[in-house]
This record gives sequence, structure tokens and C-alpha cells, in this order.
Amino acid sequence: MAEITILKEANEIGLAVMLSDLIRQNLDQAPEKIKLFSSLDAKVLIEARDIQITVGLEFKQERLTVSEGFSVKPDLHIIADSTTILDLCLLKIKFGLPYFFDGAGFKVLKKLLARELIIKGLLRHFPTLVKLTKIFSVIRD
Amino acid sequence: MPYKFPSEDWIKEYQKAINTSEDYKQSGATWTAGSVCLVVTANPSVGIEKDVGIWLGLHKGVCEEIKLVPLEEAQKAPFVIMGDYSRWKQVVLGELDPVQGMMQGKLKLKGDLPTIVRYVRASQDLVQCASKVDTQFMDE
Repeated sequence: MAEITILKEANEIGLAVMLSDLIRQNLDQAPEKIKLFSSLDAKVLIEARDIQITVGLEFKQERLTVSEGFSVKPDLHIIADSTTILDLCLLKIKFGLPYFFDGAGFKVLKKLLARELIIKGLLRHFPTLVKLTKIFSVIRD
Repeated sequence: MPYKFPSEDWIKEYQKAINTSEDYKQSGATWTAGSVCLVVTANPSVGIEKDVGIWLGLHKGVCEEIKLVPLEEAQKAPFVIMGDYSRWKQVVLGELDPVQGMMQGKLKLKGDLPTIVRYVRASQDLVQCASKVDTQFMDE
């Protein structure tokens, strides 16, 4: 059973609650993702710049702690508007990787190229990003 | 003629707006996840004495049923979005995007998040329909 905790300070942040519910429900519906979740060891910062909300996700020792952010540099820093953050959850996974050659994938790719979606740490922590995308993805095969 | 929000007359107009929306017909075409209830929390200062839900019986891009329900019934819907009157007013006026509202904690969502995420466009189209109803707000 994956353990997900929202720190008190983040309890009133809708995005924090949504992301933790999304991950929890995704793991319930696709138990094969639990192994991926357990193997993650990373700090991820998600910033919805249109609504000026930042949420920190710390994956460590089979646990996820959701907070308002970190005082140290995260491994991945995802910056986008709120709708784009949800678009990331619509990415299909093919051959173990995010698939960019359908409608949802192409939309995300276009935003990445236009810098409407910024992922700091993308190259350095690519395997972490792939795992994270798989955990977030709501697209079932 | 403006319709008081929320009221029986308003929801009937809302249903018409949903069922004549080409955008919603398309974005909600594959929706089979059940009803959605929009709950306006009690606010006696504008005449809403108890929480009231707007029950939307949605199926494959069509609003088959719409009714006002008390909170107890509203909570039986698979998807419940809750907010106070001022937030819904902003939504109906098109000033607050429902997705942003949920992310900001201005609207609280109960239900299966993966499904909601798959239908973000449909939820935005539904709200767009609400803004097409000629609305009279109770605090004006």
C-alpha cells in the first residue's frame, strides 16, 4: 500500500489535494504502478504559474509527501499553466516511454518547444521524469 | 428574461444550453461515468438557507436529467463539485475556470480524479454553457 501524506500547510491547496488523490486513485486502479512509485526517490516541484501555486512532491522510501515546496533545489521543476499540468496526465505510455505522436502527446510536445511548459532537470533526471509520467498518466491501455 | 440562480427555471435553461452546445456534445461524447452534482453551499445572506445541489444526469454528451437536490442526495453523485455562492457566481460569469478553481481550492471536488482529468475539456464546456444562461444573481 502506497503511503501518501499531505502536510498540514498544503491541505488547503487544491492542486496538492488533487495530485495526491490522482496518484492514489491511479495506483488503486493500476496496481502495476505501485512498483514504479516505490522505486522513486526524487523531489519534484510543480508550479502552476497562471494561478501562482507551487506544490512539492517528495518521493522517498515508498512514500510520497506533498508540501508547499522545498527549501532545496528539486530534481525536477515543472512549470506550466494549470491546464497544461493536467495535459501531462493525458500522455500515453508506449514502449515504456511517454508517447508524443498522438493528439495529447503532440500538444505537450508543442508546449515544451514553445517553452509554455518548462521542465528543469529534464535531461539530468530523465528516468525520474519517465517514471513520474507513468504514475500520473490516466490513460489506460 | 433573466433566471434566478439557482432555481428550477435556471436549471431548465442550463439543461437547454448544455443540450444545444456542439462543443459539449463533442467533448462529453464518451462520458459514461454518471452524474455530476454542483453544490452551492448555504449562504443565508443571499437567501440560500441550505446547501443546494444541481444534479446533472450526463450521458454521452447529453444532459438527460437536471434537478435541484439537497446535500444528502447530492453526495450520492459519483462526482460532486462544491463551492460557495460567490465562487459559483464567478464560474457562471465565466470569471473563474473550474479547473483553476479546483486547483486553487476555491471549488472542492469529490470523485474519481483520473476520470475528471480525462474530461477536463468537457467540464470547461459545461461551464461555458452555464455562462450562456441569462442569469440574475441573488445578491444583486
